[in-house]
Amino acid sequence: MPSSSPSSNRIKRCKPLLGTFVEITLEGAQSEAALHKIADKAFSIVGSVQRMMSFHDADSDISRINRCAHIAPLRVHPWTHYVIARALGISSQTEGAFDISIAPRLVKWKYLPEHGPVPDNNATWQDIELSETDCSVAFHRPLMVDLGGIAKGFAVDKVIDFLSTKGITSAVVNAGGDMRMLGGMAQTIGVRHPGAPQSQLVPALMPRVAVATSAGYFANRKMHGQRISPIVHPRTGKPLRSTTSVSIFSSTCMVADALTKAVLLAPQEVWTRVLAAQDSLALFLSSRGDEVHFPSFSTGHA
Amino acid sequence: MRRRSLLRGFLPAAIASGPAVLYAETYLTTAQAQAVLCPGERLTPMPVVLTAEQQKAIAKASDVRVRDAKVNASRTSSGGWFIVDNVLGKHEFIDFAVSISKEGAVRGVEVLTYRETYGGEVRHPKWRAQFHGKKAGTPLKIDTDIKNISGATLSSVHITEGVRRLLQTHALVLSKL
Repeated sequence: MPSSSPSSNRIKRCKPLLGTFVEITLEGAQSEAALHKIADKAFSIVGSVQRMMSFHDADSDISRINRCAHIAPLRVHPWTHYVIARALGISSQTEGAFDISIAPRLVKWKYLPEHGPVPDNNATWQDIELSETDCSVAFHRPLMVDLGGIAKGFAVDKVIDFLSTKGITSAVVNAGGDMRMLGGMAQTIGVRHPGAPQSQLVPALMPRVAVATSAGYFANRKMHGQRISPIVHPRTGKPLRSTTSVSIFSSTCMVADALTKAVLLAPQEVWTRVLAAQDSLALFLSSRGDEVHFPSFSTGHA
Repeated sequence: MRRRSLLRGFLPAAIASGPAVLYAETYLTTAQAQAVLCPGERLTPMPVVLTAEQQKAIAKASDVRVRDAKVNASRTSSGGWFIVDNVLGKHEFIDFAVSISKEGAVRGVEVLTYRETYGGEVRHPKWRAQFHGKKAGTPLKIDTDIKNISGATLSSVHITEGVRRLLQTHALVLSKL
């Protein structure tokens, strides 16, 4: 555990953003006031990502393309373009297990608000076309995208990129469990126990700088008397029923964020290949408390 | 500057092994939140007690129940407001502060204290002890050994509702003071 020297200050702030609690911890030789100024700017970056990529905000890039991109290509902010491009790359690698076009199902289950045209039920990520030259997005048929499975990770990465230019000794940015560390703060994190997510933690040492966790345990929507998770299988349209949680450790939070869904939904031969390609590691926790590491990374530290 | 308080509580249902512990993460004190949300401004405490009619009107306009008649408000030197309030999260109360401009727009929101109740010590399997340089069975403490938590995304919708309620409190009551 790095201990703070007398000349070092540490602040921890938390704001409601991206639909969750975003925590920023900063440690550095700067004054507390200076660290707070840096945190203000960091939070404003998260706010920008929210304004561009929120499904809930009718003025966001995402809402605009969901309304109109099937009619004509629409220019979006380079950040939005980049996140969609990376999402499509992961869709391709995971053979569609990660798919940002599952939004219609989430709207039906009231995880997302209803607005925009009626989407084509057969649309997939392959109907999304990006143009590098004018930073535009076009849909081949009416569809709806939601970046909820990747934008939090992107926001965390953007903040870390910014903080890395500010002479901070160490930093942790945690957007509702999507987390990345900078500098010497690497440490043991607590992963929520799927059997008791609000009262038990399972300690895990960070084998990479970023981690994200997905599971269905905070889902609160019911359909036909059954709890349904917002994690949806893109092919079958069925919600995840498993109570297992998966944490992905990666070098960027965006990849970790997206791969949690892919690992929960893709066949094992697909996700093992993707984990290797992305140099990422997975930790599975069952509701009974069983732990599975893949590949078995923890024992390698002995 | 961080303060964490550990209070003995009751054993939660689930599978807790040790005594339940209320874990409170204090991000900012009220004074620090004032400095962050209303930099350079002078604040004058103006606590308000809402009448039953006002509570009803605020609940109707915001579509959020008013639990507490007391509003812990301060007026800022620019004519805006700084309010400390709380909402019930998944299980425990979350304290937050909001700064509202003279015109009635949100200038900023900060979470002050976030609480969860944990089952005493966190699980610490024997085989894992080697990674922490601790003897097997040495409990990890949530406040000193584990500072960051990863899990399925917790919704912040309660804070959003709390802010909506305070914006109506401002529109219907504070702005007329």
